[in-house]
Amino acid sequence: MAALRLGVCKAMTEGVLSSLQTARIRTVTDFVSKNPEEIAQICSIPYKDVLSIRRVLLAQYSAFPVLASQLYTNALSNLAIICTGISELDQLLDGGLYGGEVCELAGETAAGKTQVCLRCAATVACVHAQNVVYIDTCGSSSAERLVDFIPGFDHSEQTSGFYRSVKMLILDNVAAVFYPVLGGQQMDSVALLEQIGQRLKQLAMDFCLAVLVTNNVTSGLDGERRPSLGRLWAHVPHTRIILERTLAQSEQTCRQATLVKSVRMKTPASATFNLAVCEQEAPG
Amino acid sequence: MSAGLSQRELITFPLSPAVRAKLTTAGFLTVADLHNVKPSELSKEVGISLQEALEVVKIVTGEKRTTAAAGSTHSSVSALHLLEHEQSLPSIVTFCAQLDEALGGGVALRKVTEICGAPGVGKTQMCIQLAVDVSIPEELGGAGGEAVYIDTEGSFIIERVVDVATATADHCRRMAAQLDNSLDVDSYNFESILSGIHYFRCHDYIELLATLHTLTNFIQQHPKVKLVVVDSIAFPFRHNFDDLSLRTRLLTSMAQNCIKLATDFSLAVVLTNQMTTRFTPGLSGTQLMPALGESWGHACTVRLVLYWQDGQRHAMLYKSPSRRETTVLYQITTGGVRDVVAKAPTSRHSDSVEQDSDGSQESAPCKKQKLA
Repeated sequence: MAALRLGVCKAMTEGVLSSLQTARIRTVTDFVSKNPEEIAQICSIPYKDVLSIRRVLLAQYSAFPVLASQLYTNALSNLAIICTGISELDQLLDGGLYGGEVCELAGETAAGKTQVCLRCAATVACVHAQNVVYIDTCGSSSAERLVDFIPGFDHSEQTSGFYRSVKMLILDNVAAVFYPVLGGQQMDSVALLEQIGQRLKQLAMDFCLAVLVTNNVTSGLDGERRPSLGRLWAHVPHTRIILERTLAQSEQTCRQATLVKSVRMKTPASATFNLAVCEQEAPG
Repeated sequence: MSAGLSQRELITFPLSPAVRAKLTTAGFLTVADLHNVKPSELSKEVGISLQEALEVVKIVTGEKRTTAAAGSTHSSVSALHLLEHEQSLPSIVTFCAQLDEALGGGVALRKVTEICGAPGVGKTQMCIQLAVDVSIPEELGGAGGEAVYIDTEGSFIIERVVDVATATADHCRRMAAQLDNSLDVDSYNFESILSGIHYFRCHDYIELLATLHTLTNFIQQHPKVKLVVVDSIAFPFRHNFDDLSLRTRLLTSMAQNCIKLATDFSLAVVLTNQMTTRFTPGLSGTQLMPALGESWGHACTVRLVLYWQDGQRHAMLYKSPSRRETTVLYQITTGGVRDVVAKAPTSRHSDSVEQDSDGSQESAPCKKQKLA
């Protein structure tokens, strides 16, 4: 997709480039997808040069192979499993949130999405002593509630070099900013949604971050709840959890988390936990 | 940092779709591709006019500069800073001590609070009470601010506001006397309270949206505004809407607008919503729930559901990021929203209730005083 540039290789001279451009061959894709003989003919460039340019371009823009054993060694040294601070949820996720992956929490209003996010943020900051980037799009984060989750909170602590040890990225809530532009005549929003998804995955991979995003749910015609933002977005998260309120025997509101998509655990599986209990456990 | 910026894709810039498509087909994908490209070259290569090319370069490099300078809107704050800020903000008391306790001291600034309930349960009364209470001076633990009241239903009855304001002013004067405060209490009367309430009447959703959009300017001119009330958000959106997806878009963008107002100006936004009936397939019977659909439910940060039960008014905190859900009783008297003290007197506007509530009145702001 990138434009053809001077200096890709020796054969790509100014003359060659301009004659390619007059033949409406502007991007790498244009060049590579055309028959080399045809290009040589149309632009009157030596066939050998066309081939060498083509070889360089293909080498430059193709993915390179990595051995699975290498990947495994990397995983052993880099992989981080981050506890969410809610043991039932950790069990459901096979230990916690995995670095390099995007996990989505979907739920109705007041299902407890923000609470789980805050709890994760507090756990990462306290237990793991790592930093968290928290992106709040709907003004619902609460520092006071965050303090509830942190035992022995001390005002004086502040660290420098924040971005060096970031282990988690929380985005609460992704649907809030896309609902105003999704649907109708606006086609850009789909591209932007795709962009965000790609960028989140890239960030997760490059910096071995555990990414936690929240999403709304919509109900289908059959009354079934599914995460919103459609099928395109459904490919973004590696793990999907639907959060619901349920009533336990003690008439206390519990949260039920149902795993609907996962790369390593059986789906569907569910766990029930109480957010209020978490709060009591934390200071103890 | 700069490497990250030059990787930014051009489709994420606010360019016109036609220009964006041409840029993409010509192979200009990221900011790096536009590096050292002159507008004249760009217009020739992409096939857009020189004017458009100039615009593109200006937008892309201009944005780059503001992001590099860490524009105030996108910079991050630490959670510690956030906590200090949250703790420094006063809240708006409701004059019902139980409700204040449930809400964590009252209606929080910087948050969007939604009050839902069936007709006649006291949504508007609650709004009027809040619009008056926001004016309580800082010396008495109030916010000492002004209110913007956006009325879409025409239910803002000025006589009621005078009732509530008079009761509030009387109470504050008593409190100031008790505390032996040096506060100039004579200037705090119902007239001063009323002159701090800016009233807007909106007849349909277009007027409402327009008002909310121009509110930023209004609040910049009136920096004392600490509360924005919209009573009700549901009414203009519940009829004359064929295109439901348009309704969702408008509502959610309005929600983002409200959140932006609340955080940018550190003010409280209070919205009221009506109730609707939901039929759940498979389940017998119906459920009463807030109107405007599921996606709207995410808009507010705090949701308070008001309902009648056993002849008493109940307020249930259904959603809050920092407080657990609870249900409390409240009542509405001539003087406004009050605690329920004894179980027996439940009739409205009776003298005994008024006296009872005077007792409880003391407790509400006093508690606030301790907090402050």
